[in-house]
Amino acid sequence: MRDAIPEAPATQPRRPAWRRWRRSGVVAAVLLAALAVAYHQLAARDRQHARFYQAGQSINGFLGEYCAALEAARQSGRVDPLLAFYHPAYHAPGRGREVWGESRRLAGAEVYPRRRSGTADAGLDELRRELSTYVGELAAIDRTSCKIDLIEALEPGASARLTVKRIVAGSDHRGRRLEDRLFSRWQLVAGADAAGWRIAADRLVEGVRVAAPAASLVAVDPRRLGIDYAHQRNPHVDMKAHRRELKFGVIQHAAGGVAVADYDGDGRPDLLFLDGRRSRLYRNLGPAGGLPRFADVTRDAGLDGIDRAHVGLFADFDNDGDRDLFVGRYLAPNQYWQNAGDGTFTEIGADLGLDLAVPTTAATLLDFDRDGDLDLYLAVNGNAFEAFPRLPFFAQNGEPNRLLRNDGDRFTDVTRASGTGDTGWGLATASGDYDGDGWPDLAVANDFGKKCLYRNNRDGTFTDVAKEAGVLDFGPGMGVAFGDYDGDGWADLYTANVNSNQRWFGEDETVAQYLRNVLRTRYALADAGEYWRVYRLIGSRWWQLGKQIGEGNSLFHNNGDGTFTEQRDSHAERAGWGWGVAFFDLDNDADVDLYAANGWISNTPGTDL
Amino acid sequence: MADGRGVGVGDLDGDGRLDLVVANNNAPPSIYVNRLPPAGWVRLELLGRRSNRDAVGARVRLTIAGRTMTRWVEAGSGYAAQSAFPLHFGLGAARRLERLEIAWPSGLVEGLEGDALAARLSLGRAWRLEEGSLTPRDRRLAAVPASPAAGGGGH
Repeated sequence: MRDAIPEAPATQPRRPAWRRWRRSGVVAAVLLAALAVAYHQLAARDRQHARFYQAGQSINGFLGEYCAALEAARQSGRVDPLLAFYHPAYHAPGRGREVWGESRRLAGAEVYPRRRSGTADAGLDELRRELSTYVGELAAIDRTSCKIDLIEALEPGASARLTVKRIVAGSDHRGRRLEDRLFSRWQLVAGADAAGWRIAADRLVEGVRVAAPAASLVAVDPRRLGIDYAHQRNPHVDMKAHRRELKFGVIQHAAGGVAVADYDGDGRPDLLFLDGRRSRLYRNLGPAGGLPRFADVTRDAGLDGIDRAHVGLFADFDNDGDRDLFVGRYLAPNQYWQNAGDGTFTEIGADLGLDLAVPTTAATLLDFDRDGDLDLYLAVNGNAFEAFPRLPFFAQNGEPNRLLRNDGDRFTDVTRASGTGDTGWGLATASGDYDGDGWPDLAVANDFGKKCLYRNNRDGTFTDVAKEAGVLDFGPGMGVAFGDYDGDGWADLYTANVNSNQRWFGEDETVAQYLRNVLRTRYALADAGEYWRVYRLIGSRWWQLGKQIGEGNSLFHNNGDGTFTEQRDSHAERAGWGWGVAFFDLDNDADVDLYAANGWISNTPGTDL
Repeated sequence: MADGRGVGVGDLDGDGRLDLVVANNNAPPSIYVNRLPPAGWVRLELLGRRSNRDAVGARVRLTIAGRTMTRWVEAGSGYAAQSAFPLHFGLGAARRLERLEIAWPSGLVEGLEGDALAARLSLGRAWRLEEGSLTPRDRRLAAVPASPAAGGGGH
């Protein structure tokens, strides 16, 4: 027989009701007090943030005017309008003089470092001479951009210490194209007028001038090449027409795909532009008069009327010797256009199971199962009519990306089985064999989310190894490309992130404000799990996220052991707001160069980009 | 500067220098014609037999002057963009290809080096290479020149 069941303890006598109420009352009072304090704290932090934000805005305004004054000074040949931005008591101890260092040649261009010479103090007189010299070097200014890089210290309404980035593009008196990028640390003090600022001291951090012969990469009016095309946005996501329904109007700015591919097999690359209203195909007719020539063959090719399109890819999906076309559309059935072999196309997406109507934004091709035909991977955004990205740096409420396996007469959705259905707001994807095992892997850049690096497990499944590989990169990703930039045989990874080049947007103050705002929404609890995932991914560095988000483009060097190291010193990082990116050898010097949609950066052996 | 989105790369005018097409949002595209000083180049378009016909995923290693360049055939990268399929190799001042190795998606790895390579591939033009055509058994098929139109800068 088992042990006797122990006797149940005698029930405690119930405490009198008033004692229980008193206890609850105390708890409630303490809670109320805590809430009041918390609310007060939140409100105080809100005000503090508002001051920070307003100060940042006013400094940016000041910088904008500084840029305009630079142009005015160049035109008039007098630097007084520029000097007005400096405090009458301007004094920069140990500043030295800014000079151009010795140039080095790079891809047909001269690159001059901006250096500090000497350690003498500088006052307004020294500054006047230096600015006169600088402005005197410029024959024309085409474009300027003066922005906050990082606010290091701020006393709103009184003073600020920050790094600023100035970009000046124009030409010199020898007719060379110039682009100057100057990073300086400025000490600002509030001016006599309430809103204004004055520069009390400054010091160069680093700078570079690229001077290229006028004829290098020449922008040609597309109409001269026979291309009478201008991208039009998808009317279905037009903010004006859908102000009420559309929760995420930014999507209308995202479109703008292009395919450079020889669709008719004549050896010349043709051009397809993907469009919100009417995509266009231009056939390359061969050069004439020193320029490429194109003709609009959209109608002849049977491709008229492709709207809501984001991405188009030509490839021989059915291995019959000609290139077919896949078109990824935004919340409209994706299309598969079969090439009849004579340069005309017929749409049979529904027959092949490709007519998925999801917010497709980008796509890449790969033969992930190595069965000899091309499979398709789609980067899928969120549905702008139903959702907006929660957690800007870790949004997981987009629609899943898709992996579609080519089975000959059908494409089978193997997203779930393969584990590639990331639900970030996908904007870009690329395929490459980062680990050199012969099996293609996948990289995904999400707007409002982390990157994914899917390692091909060689059995039809993938594993997201972004964390282990060191490429998490929470920045708002907009472009991704593989390429071996340093010639070691391994595929490096470049990601373009939105970055207004203003890291201050991501400073602690701003991130803290964001978190406070989130706490006030009904999503705070719903997203708690996601915060936990963020924490697990990056641990206690979470508070640095803001800076990371704001830092912009990232170049990850492949270490050859399955991991990457971010190239922090590379100028690529500085390239700013980037969408498309491409690795290619621009100058035929045998190194791949890197082009981000906002400018190209050359690469030379033995140096960083 | 326009609002750049997709970036596509290809030799639009066939002069051996890669040109750029940038699709802009809500605006005409930007097209940049490459007028940098000419330098040596060679371009390879791969045709899969057992591999997918466009050879997407193939890895090509080309050695010149003791340096090895690695490129991959890809379709779709960057931002909603596709660049021309042929792999473009700038050669700088080098005048001789030393070694070519192609790892096809099918698993076949084949190559040529030294005089055999120099005899097959002359510089400054585009070549179509079919899978298996570099293996000794089948060498007579090696390095079929692309159609005259594709030769581009070969004139």
